[in-house]
Amino acid sequence: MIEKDNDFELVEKFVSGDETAFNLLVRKYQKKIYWHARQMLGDHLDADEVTQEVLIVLYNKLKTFGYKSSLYTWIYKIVTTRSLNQIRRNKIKRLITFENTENREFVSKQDIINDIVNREKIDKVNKALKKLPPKQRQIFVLRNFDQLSYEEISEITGKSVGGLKANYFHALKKVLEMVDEKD
Amino acid sequence: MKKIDEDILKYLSGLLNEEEKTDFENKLAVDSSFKERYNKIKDKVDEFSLVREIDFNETYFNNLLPIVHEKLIKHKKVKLIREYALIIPTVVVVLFVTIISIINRNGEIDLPKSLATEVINNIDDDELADNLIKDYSFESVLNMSPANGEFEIYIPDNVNLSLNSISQYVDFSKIDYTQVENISGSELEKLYNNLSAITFEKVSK
Repeated sequence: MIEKDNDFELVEKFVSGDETAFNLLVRKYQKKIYWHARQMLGDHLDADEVTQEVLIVLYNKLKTFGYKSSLYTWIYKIVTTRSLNQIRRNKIKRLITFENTENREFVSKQDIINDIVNREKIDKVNKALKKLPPKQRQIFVLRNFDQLSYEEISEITGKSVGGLKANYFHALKKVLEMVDEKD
Repeated sequence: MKKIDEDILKYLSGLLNEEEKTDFENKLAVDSSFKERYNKIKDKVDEFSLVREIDFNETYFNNLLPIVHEKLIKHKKVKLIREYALIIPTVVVVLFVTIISIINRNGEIDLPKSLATEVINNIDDDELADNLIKDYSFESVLNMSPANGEFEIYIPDNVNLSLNSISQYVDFSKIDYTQVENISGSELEKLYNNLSAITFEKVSK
């Protein structure tokens, strides 16, 4: 609750012209934004693109924030929608250019994870997540990685809690089956 | 996937109802092989969330804000250009429409006006005098003064005429037209213009 009030205070400050309030909000949420996008897209370059996009949207749209929900669910709504859009864009791009997946992986050498072991870990997760349909991946990431409650996810995605539980169950099942296959 | 694994996933997903959940937790407490299987699956699921804890290059996040600010400045410029790009053609179109409508409106008024002016400019003094005679009875213009037995020329305020114009109707040798002669050139011009205006109105109608 205190965090929510603090966020509202920062938003109010920013809306009344205090640019430093925006910087504080960025510092507070940039990692959450990046990692959500990264889990959704499985690639640093795409995640970077979406993160910057979201921060720009945040700057331009904070004035329209209605204080009806918490700021972080509002931010998650933006980042998760943008990530889904990026997935669609990539799909279209691949269809048009017949882009080779290997090339894509070559491009992805730019990363913020330098350690090879960590990189392998995250690659393994990403490969499993990429097999999930985008909407199921979204729920899996929000629940498993961002550790949000079903109620919060419902607020972000606009889906019923029951539907989300069922979707998460199917996502878990698929992901574990894929992991078992590899093991 | 085995039935037992599905139950574990249902539990982890929150799909079990209160009764099923209690049964599941009771089984977990007494059945060691079931607990082992549960832990194994739970670990696999947790592996996905543990990705959050891996080390990464913090420099990226330190540089993110300046990059975003830079992009915001660019966006503002582009936005400004876009706004102007819309404003300029809009202003041009509005100006064009306004000018066209003014030209049209002026054209409507100016056409008869210019025609009337044309008529006035080409009408000679005799015609003006003729108009005068038709509009006003001869008597109202030329009166015989009973006192001195002389003609007096009465010129209504809104009518003007030049002396030469009425010469064909009046024998000036027989009348005293000193009053008319006394009218200065500028006054005569004023009278002439007034008469022109009357003619102009007639023509305009």
